Amino acid sequence: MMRAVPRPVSPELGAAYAELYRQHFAFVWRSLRRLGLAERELPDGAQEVFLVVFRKLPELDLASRLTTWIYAVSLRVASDWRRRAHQRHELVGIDDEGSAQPMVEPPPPDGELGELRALLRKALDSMPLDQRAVFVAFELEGLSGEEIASALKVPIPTVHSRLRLARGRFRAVVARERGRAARESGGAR
Amino acid sequence: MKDPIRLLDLAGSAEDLEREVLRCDEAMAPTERDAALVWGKLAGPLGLSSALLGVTAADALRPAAGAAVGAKSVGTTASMLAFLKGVIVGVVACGALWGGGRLLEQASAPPTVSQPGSTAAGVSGRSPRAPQPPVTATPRETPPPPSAGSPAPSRRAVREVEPPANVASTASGLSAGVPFRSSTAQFGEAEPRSGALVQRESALKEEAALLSRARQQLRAGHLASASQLLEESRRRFAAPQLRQEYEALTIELLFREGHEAAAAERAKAFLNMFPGSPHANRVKTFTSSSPAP
Repeated sequence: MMRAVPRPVSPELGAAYAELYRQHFAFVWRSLRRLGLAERELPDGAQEVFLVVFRKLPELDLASRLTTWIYAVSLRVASDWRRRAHQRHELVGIDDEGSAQPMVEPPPPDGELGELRALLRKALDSMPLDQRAVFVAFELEGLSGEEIASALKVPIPTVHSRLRLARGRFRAVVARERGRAARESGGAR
Repeated sequence: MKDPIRLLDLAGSAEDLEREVLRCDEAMAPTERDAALVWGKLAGPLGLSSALLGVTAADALRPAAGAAVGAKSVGTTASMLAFLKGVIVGVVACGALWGGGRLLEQASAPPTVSQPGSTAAGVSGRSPRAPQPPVTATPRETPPPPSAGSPAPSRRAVREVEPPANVASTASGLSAGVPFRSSTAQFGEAEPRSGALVQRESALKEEAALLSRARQQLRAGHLASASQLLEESRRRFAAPQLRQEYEALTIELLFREGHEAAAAERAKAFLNMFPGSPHANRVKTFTSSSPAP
């Protein structure tokens, strides 16, 4: 079957796409990783996000903040990936609250920095996606509650509520790790 | 409705470990190879041609002034958005932007950039007992991970055209100020990974394992053993990839050995060089003579 192919775009449009890509690529990459995509999945995930972004730009309300909207697109892509990963049995299971646990253990981290990143990943993985999305956007990306509410299309009080629950999970995971480290070191000098 | 204070903004309320965990991710920027790879995947479906783009890779990958994520560059974004919509509407009016059309005659290559800038390769001839001289290297010390095994580009999202075979034909690298981490691999380098990259990864693992043992000994109070391990790391890895961790552990060792003034001096030098380091919070505790928490 002959597949339809696009015509080359105009130089102006191509340059505009490049500008948009330049401004938001790192943000998309970080967001997807923090929302649960594995490193190996990031290139494809980012491609999906920008395909959507470029194609839906004409529909975007000019009053919307582009970063907020791109975050919403990234979240949808991440959600789709999680669903497909679950269907491929890459997840042990999703608990009643929607938290996902990976089947395959990630490789051992390199150094203390790697351990911190593994702990961050663990804390984020403990959250259902709706809480994770708010926590990532607010605590790590610095979006405001209003912006997050706009991106997720929920009321601001809902954003605050999810943030509170996400913080609880985050602190619980970190506290457990702190306790484990203290037991292992014996606290001795 | 007022937002709560962010955990990283909480003065003294957020635990140190919480802050370290939240900040550890900050340096994990994508590499220019990542950016070029995804750009190459986009080129086909979107009908982008390198000849028509009219930008270099350095232009495409360098952030615009003040356009950091989260920055309130609404004006720039809004005007760009308006321009984009105007251009898109114009193109659509002239006949389909997507769907239909002739085969691309030219592969769309991602924009090129200049050669990679240096990573924070560390300072040779370091001494474990003297402050390090200031360096201009970036604080991003860890090399990029292997390019995700570089699986074959997924075809799932490419509904229209095959990615052109010569899409990745242009060498690329980082120029100063680009938000992507330096990559030891040139863009377009054929898989499998080069021997140099494999060696570098192997050295990183060894260095990480050695520092991990040193950290365990240090936290367990076995200072002599920790000192020996750090000395071994200094000898074996003259250009360390985990320079910040090595330095942070050395500062802590100095402190625990009772050399508090030396530890404080070295900690201040560390914080000047690496203000955004994930080890900064811990190192900060050694800048005074008071006992570390």
